[in-house]
Amino acid sequence: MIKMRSELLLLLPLVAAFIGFPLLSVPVFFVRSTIIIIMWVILAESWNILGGYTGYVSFGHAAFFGLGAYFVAILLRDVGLSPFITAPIAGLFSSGVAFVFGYAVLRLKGNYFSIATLSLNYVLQLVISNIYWMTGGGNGLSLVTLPFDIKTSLSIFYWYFLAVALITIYVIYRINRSTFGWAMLAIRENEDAAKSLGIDVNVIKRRAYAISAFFTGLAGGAYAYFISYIDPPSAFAIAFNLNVVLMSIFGGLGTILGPLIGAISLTSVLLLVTYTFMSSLNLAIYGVILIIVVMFAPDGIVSILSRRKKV
Amino acid sequence: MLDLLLQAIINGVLIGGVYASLSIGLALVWGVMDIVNFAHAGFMILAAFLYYFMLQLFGVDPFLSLILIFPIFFLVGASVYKLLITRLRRPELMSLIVTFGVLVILEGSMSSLWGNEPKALATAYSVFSINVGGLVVRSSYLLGFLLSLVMMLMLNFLLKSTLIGKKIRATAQSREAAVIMGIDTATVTLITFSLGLATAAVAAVPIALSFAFYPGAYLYWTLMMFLIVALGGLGSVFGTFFGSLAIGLIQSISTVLLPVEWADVIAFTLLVVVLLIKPRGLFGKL
Repeated sequence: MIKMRSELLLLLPLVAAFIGFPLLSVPVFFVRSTIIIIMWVILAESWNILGGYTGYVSFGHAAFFGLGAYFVAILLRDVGLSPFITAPIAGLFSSGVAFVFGYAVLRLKGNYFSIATLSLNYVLQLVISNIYWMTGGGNGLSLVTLPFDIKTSLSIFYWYFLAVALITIYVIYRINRSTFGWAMLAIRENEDAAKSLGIDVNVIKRRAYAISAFFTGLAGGAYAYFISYIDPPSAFAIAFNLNVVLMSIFGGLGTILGPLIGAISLTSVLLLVTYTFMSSLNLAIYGVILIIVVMFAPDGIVSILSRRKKV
Repeated sequence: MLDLLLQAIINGVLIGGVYASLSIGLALVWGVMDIVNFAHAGFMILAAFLYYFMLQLFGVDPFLSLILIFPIFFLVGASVYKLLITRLRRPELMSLIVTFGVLVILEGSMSSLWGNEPKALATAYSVFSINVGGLVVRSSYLLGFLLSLVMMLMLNFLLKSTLIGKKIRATAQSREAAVIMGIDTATVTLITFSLGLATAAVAAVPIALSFAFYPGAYLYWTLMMFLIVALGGLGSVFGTFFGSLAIGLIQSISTVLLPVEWADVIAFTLLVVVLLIKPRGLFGKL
C-alpha cells in the first residue's frame, strides 16, 4: 500500500495535466475522448467506495447511472431545467434508491450480492423501457443540446466533468482518513470482527452504497446531457458494470489512485482499439489485455508502483 | 383461459428443462470449486454456432455433432482451467474477471467472424409439433427437454454412484478434508471444470433449436443461469432441475396473466426476493 500522502503527490501532476489540457488547442475528437475518460474516472472511483473499501462487489451500478440519466432527461423535457443543475439532484435520487435497495441486498454476501445487484439492474432497465409513456420506452429520449458551437459546449462539459471528478476524489480522500473509512475497511477484512468491535456494519454499508450511488447518478445525469440521447440498453448497460469493476481491479482495489489509473488506461486502450480496428475485434483485444493484467498484476497497477517504491 | 394456462404449463416445464441443461454446468463448478465461470453462456453460444455450421455446410444433425463437440469442449475447458484459473492467486474473485475476459474474447471473435445477425437452427423436425387435445407440443422443445433430462440423469449417476463422483462431492464439501483422505483434488477440480464447460455444448443443442442466437445473446442466458443457480442452490442436480422448472413455469404463466414485457420483471424481482429469504438458494449445497 502506498501512503495516502504520496498517493496525493502522484495525483498532482495528473490533475495539472487535466487542467492544462484545454489550453492546448487540440482537435474536438480528443476533447470528447478526454471527457469520456474523466467520466470513467468518476464512475470507477465511486464504484470503488463500495466495492474497494467494503468489499461488496456490485454488478449493478449501471442502475444508478441509468436512473440519473433518465432523471435529468425527463426533467429537461418536461420542466426545462438545466441538467447541470439537476445532475446533482439526480445523484441524490440515485442515492436514495440505493439506500432503499441497500436494506435488502446488503444482507447478501459475495457472489450472491453481485448477482442480486445485477438482477436489480436488469429489472430497472426493463421497468424503464416498459413505462414508455414517461421514458419513451425502447425509442429512448433525446436531450436538447447546449445553444453554443461544438467547441464551446465541449469545453463547458469538460470543466463540468473535471470539477465533478475532483470533488469525487476529494470526498473519497476525506472518507479515507475518517473513522467511516476505517469502518469500511474493517468490514472488508472481517465483517463479524467489525461487528464485534461495535461497528454498526449495516449503517456503514448502506452509507457507502448511497455515497457510491450518488456520484454514479450524478455522472449519469451529466453524461445524458453530454451524449444528448439515451435509451434503456445504453443507460443500463451491463458492460458498464463490468467496466467499473475491471477498472478498479486493474488499478488496485481500495486505493484512490487505483481506479483513477485503471479508468484512464483502460478507457484509452478501449478508445484506441475502437478507432484503430473499427470492428468488433476490439472487444477481443480488450479481453486479452484484461486477462494479461489479471494474470500478471492481480493486485492492480498500483501494487507494481508501490512494490518498486519499497525496493 | 384454462387452455392457455395448460399450454403455458407445458411450455414452462419444457423450457425449464432446457434452462436446466445450461445452468447445471455453472452450478457444478461453483458448488465444487467456489469459482464462477462467467464465460459459460458464451461457450454455449459458440457451440450453437458450431452446430449451425455443421448443419449448413455438412448437413450434420446437431444431436450427432454433439458427439464431436462435447469432447472438444471438455478439452477447451481443461486448457482454460490449466492456463488461466490455476494460476490465479485469489481464484474466487479473480476467476470472475478472467472468465469475463474469455467471454469478451469469445463475443468479439464471434461477431467479427460471423456477424451479429440472429441465427436459428432449422432442422426438418424443428418446425414439427404434436397436437394433443388442442394443446401443442413443439418437437424442438420436447427433444430439448429429453436431451436435458438424459444429461441430468447421467450427471446425477456420475456424482452419486461413481468413484470420481464421490471424489467431486468430497471436494465440494471440504477441499482440505478431501486432500487428507488422499484425493488428488487438482485432478478432481480439473475434471469438474472441464465437465462443467462441456455441458454448455449439450445445452447449446436445445437452445439453438428453440431460440434465435447471436454473439451478444449470452447476456440474457447468463442472467437466466444466475437466477436459476440462486434459486436451485449450488452443485445439486435436482435443485438445479427444479429451480429451472420453477423459472420456466413462472415465466410462461406470467406471460399468460400479464403483458409479455413484464414477465421478466417478475422473474428477476423474484430472484432477489428468494435470495433475501434463502441467501444460499432454495436447495442448498451438493
